[in-house]
Amino acid sequence: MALIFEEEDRTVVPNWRDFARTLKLNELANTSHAPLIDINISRAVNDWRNEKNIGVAADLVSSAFISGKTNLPEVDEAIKFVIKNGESTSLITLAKEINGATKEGRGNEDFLGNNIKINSANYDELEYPEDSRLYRLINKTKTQARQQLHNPIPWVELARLYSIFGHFDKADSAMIIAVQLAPNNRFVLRSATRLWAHPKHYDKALYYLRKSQLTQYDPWLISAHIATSTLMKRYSPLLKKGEGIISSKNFSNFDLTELASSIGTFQFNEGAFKQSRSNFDLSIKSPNDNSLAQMEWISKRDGRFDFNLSNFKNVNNTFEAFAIEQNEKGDWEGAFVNTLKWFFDLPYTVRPVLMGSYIASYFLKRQDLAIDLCKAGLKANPNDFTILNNLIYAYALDNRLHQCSNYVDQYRKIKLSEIPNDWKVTFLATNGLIEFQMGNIEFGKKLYENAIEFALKLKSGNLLLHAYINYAKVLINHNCSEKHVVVNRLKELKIDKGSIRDKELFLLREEVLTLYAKNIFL
Amino acid sequence: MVINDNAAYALKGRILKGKWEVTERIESKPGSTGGFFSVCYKVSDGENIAFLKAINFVAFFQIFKGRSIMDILAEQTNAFNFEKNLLLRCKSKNLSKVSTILDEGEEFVEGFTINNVPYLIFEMADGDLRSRITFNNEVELAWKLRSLHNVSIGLKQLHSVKIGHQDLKPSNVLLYETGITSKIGDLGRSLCDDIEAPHEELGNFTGDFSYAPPEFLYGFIEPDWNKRIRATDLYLFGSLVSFYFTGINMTALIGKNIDIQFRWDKWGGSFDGVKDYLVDAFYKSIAEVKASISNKNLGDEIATLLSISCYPYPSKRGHPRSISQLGSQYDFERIITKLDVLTRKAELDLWR
Repeated sequence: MALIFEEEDRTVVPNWRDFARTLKLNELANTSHAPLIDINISRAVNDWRNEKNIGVAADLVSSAFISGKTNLPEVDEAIKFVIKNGESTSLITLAKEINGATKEGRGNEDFLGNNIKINSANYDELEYPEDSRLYRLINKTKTQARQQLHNPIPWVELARLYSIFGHFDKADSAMIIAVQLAPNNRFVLRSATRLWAHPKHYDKALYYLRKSQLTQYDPWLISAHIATSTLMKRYSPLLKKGEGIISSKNFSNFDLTELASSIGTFQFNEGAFKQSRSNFDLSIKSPNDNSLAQMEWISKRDGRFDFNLSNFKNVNNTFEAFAIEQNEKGDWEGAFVNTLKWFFDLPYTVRPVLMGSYIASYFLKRQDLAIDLCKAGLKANPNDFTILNNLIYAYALDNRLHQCSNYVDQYRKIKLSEIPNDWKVTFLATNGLIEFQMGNIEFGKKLYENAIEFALKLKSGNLLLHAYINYAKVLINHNCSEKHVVVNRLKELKIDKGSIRDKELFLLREEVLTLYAKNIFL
Repeated sequence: MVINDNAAYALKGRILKGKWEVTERIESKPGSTGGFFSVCYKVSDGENIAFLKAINFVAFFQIFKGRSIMDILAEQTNAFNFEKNLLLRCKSKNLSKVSTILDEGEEFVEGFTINNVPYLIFEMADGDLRSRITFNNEVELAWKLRSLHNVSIGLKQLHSVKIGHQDLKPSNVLLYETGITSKIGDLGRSLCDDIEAPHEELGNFTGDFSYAPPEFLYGFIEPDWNKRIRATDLYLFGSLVSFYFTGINMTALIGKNIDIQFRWDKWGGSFDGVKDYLVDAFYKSIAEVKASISNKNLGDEIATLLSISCYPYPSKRGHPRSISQLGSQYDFERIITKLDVLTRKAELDLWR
């Protein structure tokens, strides 16, 4: 039985991307008015009028670039002179940049990096980054970090690369260097918060956030503090400050998007719906991918939030929100493409792997896609029970369990008592499937029955339905006599219309009933 | 005053101080000192041809129309005297790598509303750095390194007489002896430890802002005067190194390598908030200069020189070892020694 991760407590803990892609999302800008500096370049212009050579041209080009006075005819002449006569690549590049290159504002783009293009037409050409390439990148970044004393950025990049391979200790050490080098840097602190929130080292994340002077007045960091505290079920002492920042109206809506969302989430959890809604409304005035996903998540939990995701197609990297939305609507192809993009965007995250493999296994019937995605996801989270579960499930459905004996061994070492209750039903059912595949039919049945019993104990309708659906399917496939009883029981189970997964469950049940109908006389 | 009523334009043919014959009026060359407020001449003492800069009072009234005459006169006179005093100090100390004055005086020319013409006489330069430089780093490496060596000595000499140049840029590197020697020119925007500069305002950068170290563009002023002046000169020197090899000064290179949202004309936050991004761009800039030098060892040496000189924030500039041994991290001694070695290797053609 595959597991789709139901996030009970999603918060707006910052998303962590590499520096280059983070820049493109404009989350590091300070949009207060920059002080006006009027730089006089008349000397350089006059010199160019009097003497035209590459030295004077270079001088004028540099001066024009720094002052921003690039529209003068003399500057234009000097640029052309440099492009024609220049021998320095750097100088020619600068001249060309001034010449043509007022960078246009971007519309909606996927900032995935590495030229990754994903669409449903080219699943078979889909390639996950090779380990060797990533290791080369780690080596290069490590050298860069050691050579560039005092530069925190390569240390953050290194931590991210390590975390993609699940080397948490190394990632942790690199990130500590980064926060010590730059204790007041938004990029560093947000990245650190994400790194440490992932293995639930919340205290460490909060420690560095509190230690920074910037956290006292930066909405992006106050938001990170509130979101992390919320995950810990704690009250953030920065909540009041955050509310003050919102009411000060000194920041743009984009600067406030995560802060409003994190305060809104806290208020929602506290039952203050009216205040919460007002903050969520603010959060989507100029949202980023994170606040939008939060809105999508909360609106699925409470119908009083009126939210239409399709109004936000111009926001960059909104893969998570659209994956959730399309999954909900039964657009499996669309949802899977977005989970892949979500994974490539944030490769250390478990949730896109679970959602993607769930969709690939159950609805696209592409076990190969589920297997590849789970294997890629295990790199960052090598001991993650949930990914391991979905990987084995996909192998089993593909009748290739023998090809993943190492994973099965690892899975079987997990003790029932070690995993959270919510996952025990899945764990028992998947073990049941393994036993069926290995020919231990009776033991397999026993495990499925245990799974059903556990779901009843948890009073979880969804889990119960899933357990029955999977059990029925395996019984039908193995032509076991119990199939009639189990299918009848499945028919009787009620699916709550309007619940988050109702469409999925109707569909999956229908599928089993059709399979049963085809095999009833066998 | 009519346009012809200008004694500064009437010096041709005169013998100044019984020694200097004013032979011809010349246009101010690119980079030569003076600018709008001076009239330039060639002068000769029979052996040497020199360059005369006569102060042009009339230009004051043309440029600053509407301003109080007293203010203008006071401002310009102070500026002239300040530069003259610095130049005399340099002359008295025989600074070999600073373009100093040969003579100075005041000529009385009859028949004009203002009869007095103060003047300064300098060595005649062949031109400035820009007239000679190319950015092909396969040729003239020895010349570039020797020129930088000269400039570093010039800065060290200025610092030894308590002067911070503050306006070092390609146009202020003057070439002599057909380019063999480079000297630093134009002390007009300099600052001095014990002579008050009329242009020093609230500690801001006094030189050409299109060469300013990044901290000034972001409104940060190092409070310690000595530290600020020396750190600024060190940066300007490194920026010049970058110009020699790429044609772009370091501030422009950093601007090119930093994301536009952090650039000085876009960033609305503090210098402290942007400095990590400046550091990142700075390292990218160094890599760019290195890439322009085909010899790897020389590229590494130049990169080290830049990392010492141009660190984006002043407190981290300079050679860390210089603090304990020379008393100041901004001292040029190590740079001079290093450039001397690099020049000698280049002269032996070892960098090819």
